[in-house]
Amino acid sequence: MGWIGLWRWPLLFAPLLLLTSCTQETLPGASPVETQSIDLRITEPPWEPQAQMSRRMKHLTTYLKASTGLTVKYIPAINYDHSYSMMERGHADLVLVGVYGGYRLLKALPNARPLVVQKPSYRVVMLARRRWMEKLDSGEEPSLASVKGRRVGFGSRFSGSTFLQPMLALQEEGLDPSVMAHCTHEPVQRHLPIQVANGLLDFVFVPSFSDQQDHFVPESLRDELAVAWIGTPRRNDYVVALDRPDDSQRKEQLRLVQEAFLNLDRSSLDGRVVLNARGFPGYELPTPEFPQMTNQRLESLLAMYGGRPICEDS
Amino acid sequence: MNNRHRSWSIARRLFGISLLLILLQSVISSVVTTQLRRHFFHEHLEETLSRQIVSSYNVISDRLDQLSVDQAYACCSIDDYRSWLEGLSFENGKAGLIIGAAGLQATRDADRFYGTTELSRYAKDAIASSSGFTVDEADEDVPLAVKAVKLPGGDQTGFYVYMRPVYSMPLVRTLMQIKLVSELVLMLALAVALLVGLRLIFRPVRRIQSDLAGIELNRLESAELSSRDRPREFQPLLQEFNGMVGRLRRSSADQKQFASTISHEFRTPMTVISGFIQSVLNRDEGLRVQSRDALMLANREVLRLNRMLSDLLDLSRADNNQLKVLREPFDCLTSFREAFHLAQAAFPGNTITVNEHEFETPVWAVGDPDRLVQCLKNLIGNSVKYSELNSAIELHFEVQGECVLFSVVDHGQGIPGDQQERIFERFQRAEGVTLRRGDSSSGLGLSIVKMLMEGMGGGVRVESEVGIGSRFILTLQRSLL
Repeated sequence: MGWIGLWRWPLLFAPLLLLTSCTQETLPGASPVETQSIDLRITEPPWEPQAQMSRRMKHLTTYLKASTGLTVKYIPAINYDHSYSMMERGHADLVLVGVYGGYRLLKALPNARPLVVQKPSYRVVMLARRRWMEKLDSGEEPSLASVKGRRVGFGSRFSGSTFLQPMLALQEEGLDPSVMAHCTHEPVQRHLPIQVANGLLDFVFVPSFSDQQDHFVPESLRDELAVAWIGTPRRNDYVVALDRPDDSQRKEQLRLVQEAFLNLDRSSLDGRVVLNARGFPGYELPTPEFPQMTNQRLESLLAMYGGRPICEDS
Repeated sequence: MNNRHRSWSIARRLFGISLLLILLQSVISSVVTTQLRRHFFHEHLEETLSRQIVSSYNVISDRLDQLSVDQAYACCSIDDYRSWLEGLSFENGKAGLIIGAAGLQATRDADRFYGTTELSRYAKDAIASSSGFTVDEADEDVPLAVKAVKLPGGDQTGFYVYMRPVYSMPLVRTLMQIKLVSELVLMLALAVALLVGLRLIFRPVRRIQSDLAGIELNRLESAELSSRDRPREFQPLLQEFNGMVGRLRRSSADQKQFASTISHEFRTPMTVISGFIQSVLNRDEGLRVQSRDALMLANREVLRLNRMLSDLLDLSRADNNQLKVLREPFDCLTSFREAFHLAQAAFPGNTITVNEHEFETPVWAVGDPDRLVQCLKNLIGNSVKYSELNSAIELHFEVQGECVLFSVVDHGQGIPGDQQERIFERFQRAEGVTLRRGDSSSGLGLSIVKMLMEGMGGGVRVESEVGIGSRFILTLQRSLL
């Protein structure tokens, strides 16, 4: 009996669970009880508000169901570490990761492999208050060096796109994290621009996945915020799958999922919805450059910091 | 039946419709404003709360981010919720809480403002709404804005809910009330302005109405309405009216000319006829009684016809401003006596009394002696006509200050009060008053009396009571020569 069979056992007790929970109040947003058999489980680090994560995952699982016939269940993660550990502990078969998560999973799990990688569209963006930009002297251009003596916000400590990638960029510019007056982590990246607008931070690093550099900035804050610096286009996101060498069914499932990701384009409604939700132009097969070479660079960076880099006062 | 012909007013209708439109506009404006206020106020509040919640949410999500894998798997108990909220405290009724599978845990001091049941209700309402935001308006003065955000993870982590009272709501309500009052005042002012405007707009109509009321039939030459300073819209109407007046004037002039010509041309043959009848009656004593009676009847009718022609001629002359009425001092007592004697001769059957013997010296008045006699004869003739056969007629002569009064009193049928004005108009006779058989009336006599007396600077009036009799009073200005 495979794990799918084991997974079905609790379903036998579902009516009993329902009866016992009749006296307990449920929240309006609580998930309904699953009654469908699940083929694969997918998770992602919570880098956005959970409501948006759930909505985006709903689009993706609906698309995967329609294109592969597989039932893929989204399992929300409490934090980045939690999401990675789900695969490590066998609670997730697919993880949508950034460079750090992918590096960590591929290093820790011999059976983990990159299934598909995003087409190059990721760029790290540094946002600042528009008023600050307007006060700069003529000829003075905002740059990464502007973070000196300023309050700077990053994403989660475990985020590649909004922490490690900016740290790499700072390193490339010869800037040590200690030049910043204050740095903080905001795991929910969507909240980073609000922190600047509210005056709590001077700069924040957010990702951009499309040509629109400030697509991460909420519409209501566009007048207040501006892009101070933007990195070169790279890749950041990819899908890591947990393979089972002896399990042909798993191999076939992963092949179908890979094909579905590769077939994602904006010509179909489903594809458009999924890609628009993520901001990607699409996915392609892993290349020698990504994620392998990127992971090597990351390894040297981490080695330089003796582990994960950290903000001094966070 | 009357409703079918009920008249209606353009001004009132215009006023009513305008007022209705103003009212409608006010109601629609009020409803739209209220809805927009609600919409934008909620939108603004949601935006504000979405920004305010970030700093406290960040504390919690950062703590969640730092949970170890084992802690994440063991999540979550109410103690976990408490630890995530640790250090978060709000003032002025603001509060935060986490509600999830483990239960509800609020920030410190939240219980000072809210009970657990209340907090639970606010949180569930916000979570149930599509945007995660609600405004609880149970307390109208200080509503509560509530924003709920799902914490990372499944049902075990639950929602972080932030709430704050909207203390500015009374100000918003006051502003709305001010707006409502100003709308009402504006509406009232508009209604008044509309009323004034309508009065101004319809002022030309009232002027035309007044001008039309002043038109007299016998003065059609001045009846045309000037189109100067009149609204453009009325010009065609005025042109039509003036055209009509012109046609009426020509027609009236033709009629007067016709009456004048006829009266004048008829008088000569009538005089000849009357002369020959008189001649036959005076000279031929061998006439049979029947023939004599017939001739006398014919003579009376000729004389009556002659009098009518004289009246018509007088009116015609008056209309053409050709009637000559003197205004000079004369002994009116003499004229009064003459009229009395003539009446005695004309109406021998009636007892006509006079008080002229009270005056021994001449009394001078301003006027025309012949016309005064004519007027008195006319009044005495009427008194005889409308009284019982051989009824007594009294003539009174009186001097009152600067005036001389001549009264003709009868004991006839009397004239109803509402008829006493119109009997002095041409071709008008008192309704309900009957003539004796064989008598007739042209309805011109009293109008001629009025015309002549006014021509002499005097006047005529009547005092009458139905069933008792009438007193016609002629007045002339006394001459103090």
